Amino acid sequence: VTAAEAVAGSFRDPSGFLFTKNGTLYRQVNERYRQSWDALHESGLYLELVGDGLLIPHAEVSTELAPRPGAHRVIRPEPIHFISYPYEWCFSQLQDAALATLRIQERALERNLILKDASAYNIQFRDGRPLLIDTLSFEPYVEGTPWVAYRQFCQHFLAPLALMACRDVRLGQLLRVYIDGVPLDLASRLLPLRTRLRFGLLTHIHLHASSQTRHADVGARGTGAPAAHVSRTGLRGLIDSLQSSVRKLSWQAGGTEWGDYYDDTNYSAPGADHKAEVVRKLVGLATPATVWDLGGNTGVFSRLAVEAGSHVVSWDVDPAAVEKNYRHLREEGPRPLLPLLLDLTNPSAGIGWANEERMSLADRGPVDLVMALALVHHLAISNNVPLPRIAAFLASLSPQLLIEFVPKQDSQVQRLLATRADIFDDYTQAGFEAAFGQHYETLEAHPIRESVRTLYLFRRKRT
Amino acid sequence: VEVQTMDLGLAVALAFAFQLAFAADANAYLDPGAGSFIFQTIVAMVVGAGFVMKTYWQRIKAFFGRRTATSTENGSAAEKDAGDRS
Repeated sequence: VTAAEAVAGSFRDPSGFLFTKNGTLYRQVNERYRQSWDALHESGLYLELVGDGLLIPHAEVSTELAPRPGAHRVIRPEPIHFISYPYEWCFSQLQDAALATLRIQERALERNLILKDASAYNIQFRDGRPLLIDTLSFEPYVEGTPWVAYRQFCQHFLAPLALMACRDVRLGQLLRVYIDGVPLDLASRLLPLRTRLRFGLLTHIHLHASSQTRHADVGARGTGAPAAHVSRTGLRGLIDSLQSSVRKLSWQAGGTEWGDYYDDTNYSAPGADHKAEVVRKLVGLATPATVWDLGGNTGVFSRLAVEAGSHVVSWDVDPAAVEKNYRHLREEGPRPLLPLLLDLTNPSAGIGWANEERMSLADRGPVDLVMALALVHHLAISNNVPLPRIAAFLASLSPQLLIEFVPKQDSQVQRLLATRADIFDDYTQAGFEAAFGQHYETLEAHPIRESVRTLYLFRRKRT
Repeated sequence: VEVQTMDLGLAVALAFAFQLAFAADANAYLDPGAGSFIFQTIVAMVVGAGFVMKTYWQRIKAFFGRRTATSTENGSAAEKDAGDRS
């Protein structure tokens, strides 16, 4: 039995906090949150939202587990297989998360409750669908009061979505810098002029931003918080307006580098079939419960691992590929697959207070199997990472590795070398095997038919 | 439009500045932002009015039986509201 450990990112809200004990995640609900907690359950909202897949279900456990005094309840939320962050989501994931938040707010209001925060970090994806994981986000609605989280919703959702849709999809990465969402004055400056002609964006971003600037000194006047009155109809109008503003934004995948990769591969049809067959076989041998598919593109091979019964995160650097992967997943229906955006040459770091509010990529591992198909040449040649460093990094993520070696003779590598000097003397099959041999033993190696590539299944050496 | 709205915003802000007491909820741990709060009261009035008009328009359309299959499927808040009241 180990001591309870508070989760580093769970400290802002005095209503309660998350902690782990013996590897299980719990949430302490504090006495001060009693009224809201009871209202959430007595109103029927909890059951309704859980039933519709919009809120994480939990089991109540003994308050004796509470690590700190003042516990009203202790709950064990259903585990989420992988915690992802808004800067790792594609456009449609952030949009669906925004709409889920507003749907929850709408349902809450019908039962006389309201969301007291609207943080994108409170939304996670379970089997490809967004849901709220913070059960302490509700409080009783007091007639006439404004929505305290209106600004947060605009910063966490509407501003980045508008920037991604109307300026450049890469601006979603601003969420990495601004942990409480994109400041509205910045969003307003970056958005094209034409967005001022759209009522929703004019109101909730541009005018909202100038109003903040104008009233920035209210606190200094010493008059306390301004009294503000918003009727229930006004609040419903606000939710409705935010919903339509979010829905009207759209981003079409296209024009980015590898989005149409599968239409432009150097595999022959028998080669592609053989690669799929070998991947299926090797995943079957590895029997992983959890998989990270690095460079997963639109998720073709990730889906083979899903079929084998694994929970898979399908990472790619290309927003268009992640977008296609996610849209495909939405059509397929619920399954344990999570497409996410990641630049492996600069992976998600630990950010926020003390660098530990949001976990780094490595902090969220290890997993049972890493897949790295058609990836190593991008890391080694496009990004000049020596093979021994690639091997060392991948070995830190998982005990097993399914990796494809793509030699210099391959047309894709030739393409990468076409515009630069070949300074990669060690980039050979022998060099690859030597570098990875430092960390792994080879379980299987399969040359792929009608290609020059080889698929390896490695197992990490015991140290 | 922007100038008028901002002037209205200032007027409302000054009116509210005299009301010192504000009953903040004990659990409100977020800072809503003063400007954002004041702004919300004005925006809510505008979009609230729009929402009511939209609601009645949906009711009129429903009354004349011109509800299309798609709008029924989507079931917007306004339509649900119209449904509740009729």
